[in-house]
Amino acid sequence: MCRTACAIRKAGVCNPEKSRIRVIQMDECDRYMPLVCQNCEDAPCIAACPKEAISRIDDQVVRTVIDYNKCVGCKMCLNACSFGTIGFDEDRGRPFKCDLCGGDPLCVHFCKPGALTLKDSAMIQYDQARASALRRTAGMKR
Amino acid sequence: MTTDRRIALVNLGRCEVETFPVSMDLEQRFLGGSGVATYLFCKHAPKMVDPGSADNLCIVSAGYLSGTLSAPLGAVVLTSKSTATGLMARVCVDGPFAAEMRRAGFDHLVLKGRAKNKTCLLIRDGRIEFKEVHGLRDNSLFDPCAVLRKDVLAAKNVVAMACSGTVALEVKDPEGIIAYEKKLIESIDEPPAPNTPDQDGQDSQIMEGPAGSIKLKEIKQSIGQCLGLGCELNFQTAADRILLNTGLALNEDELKQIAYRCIIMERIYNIREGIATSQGRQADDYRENGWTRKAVVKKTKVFDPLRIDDLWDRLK
Repeated sequence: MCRTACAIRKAGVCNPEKSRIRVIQMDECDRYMPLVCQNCEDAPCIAACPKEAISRIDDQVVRTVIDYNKCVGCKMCLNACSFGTIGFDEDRGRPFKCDLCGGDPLCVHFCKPGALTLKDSAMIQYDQARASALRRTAGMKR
Repeated sequence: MTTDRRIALVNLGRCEVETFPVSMDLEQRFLGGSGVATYLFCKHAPKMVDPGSADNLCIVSAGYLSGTLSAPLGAVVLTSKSTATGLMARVCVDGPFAAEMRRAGFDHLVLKGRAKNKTCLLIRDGRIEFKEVHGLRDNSLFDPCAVLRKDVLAAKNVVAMACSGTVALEVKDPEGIIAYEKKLIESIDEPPAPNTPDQDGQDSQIMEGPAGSIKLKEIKQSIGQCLGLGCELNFQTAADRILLNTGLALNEDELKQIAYRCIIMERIYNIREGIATSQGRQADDYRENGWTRKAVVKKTKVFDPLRIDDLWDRLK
């Protein structure tokens, strides 16, 4: 549902190929891995863009965005992205990527099991630390 | 007037494919999924066909809303004449096949004939390829979700079907359907409202029509199968989803009539194929409810008011 909802909002059609979120099926471990733009601190897509069409902005959330007035569709950003999360719209001849829906991602609302959440990057380490501590103390008694 | 939905007539014996669009008239009368499949089966299946022969049809149908936000996966419906009962049989298969089939460019596949050798059908962006396969076992070639059960299609020598495509399915009101489905998802966590006496008794209600009565529960199931949801849902939800996704405005009565029409078509087909003389629970059900050839197979009283008069020559 996350992919369909994303495609409808961003492209106006039901076509998961145009979704900004990708879900990779990992047969090896019987898991699904959702992938979106990681909004890297030192984003390779920004460095690779010859037209400086990709920039990092900080309005409601920090994110990298594409300025379509400058983009020429050279696909350099697709090659540079380490996570493969930039797609290319063949109809428009332009790349696309997740922009976190301006800070309220639609995919999170449509993920009923709660596998997707939006977290402040500064808080991720604390959540991970707490989860790790809980795992380690699971067998201990007071 | 037609839509962007397409039907493929696949002749397995000759490896030929003929495609034609689903007309707006067909969409308004039967929606899609099991509704259109029943119509196509009545129209194309030879009279008194031996279910185990190559002449029997197998229709693979995606629901009317399959692949949309209302049914991102959607159940695929297989319709054929059963070798066990000799009557029209239907099986709903969950998984992403229906959505992938629509994205591959087809809503309905009518499989005719029998392939010479074991064949795999590859359906990709509006094209259907026939691939001969050797040594293929059930569910062993592709993603299990993309493979329909071997035994359903074994009589046609079709071992597997695989779909992939990038056809974009148009949405009439993108923001409207997002808001609607979001609200439905959020309401899952809310405690269910206690059933009123009316709601409790609704399933036992019956709908009367020119060809006899049908339980409302059966009507709801039929609408679910037409839409590719594979479950019952209330008429208002169904109507809202259809309107927001496709722009087709239908009210509750019209939805009921569509479901009624689809069920009656199946009954008429079964009566013609000799259910009255058949044994078993279904035949008893027909007899008890008075669904006989004399009562149901009438052009002016049943076929004309139900707008299925184009099937008169096939089903009389």
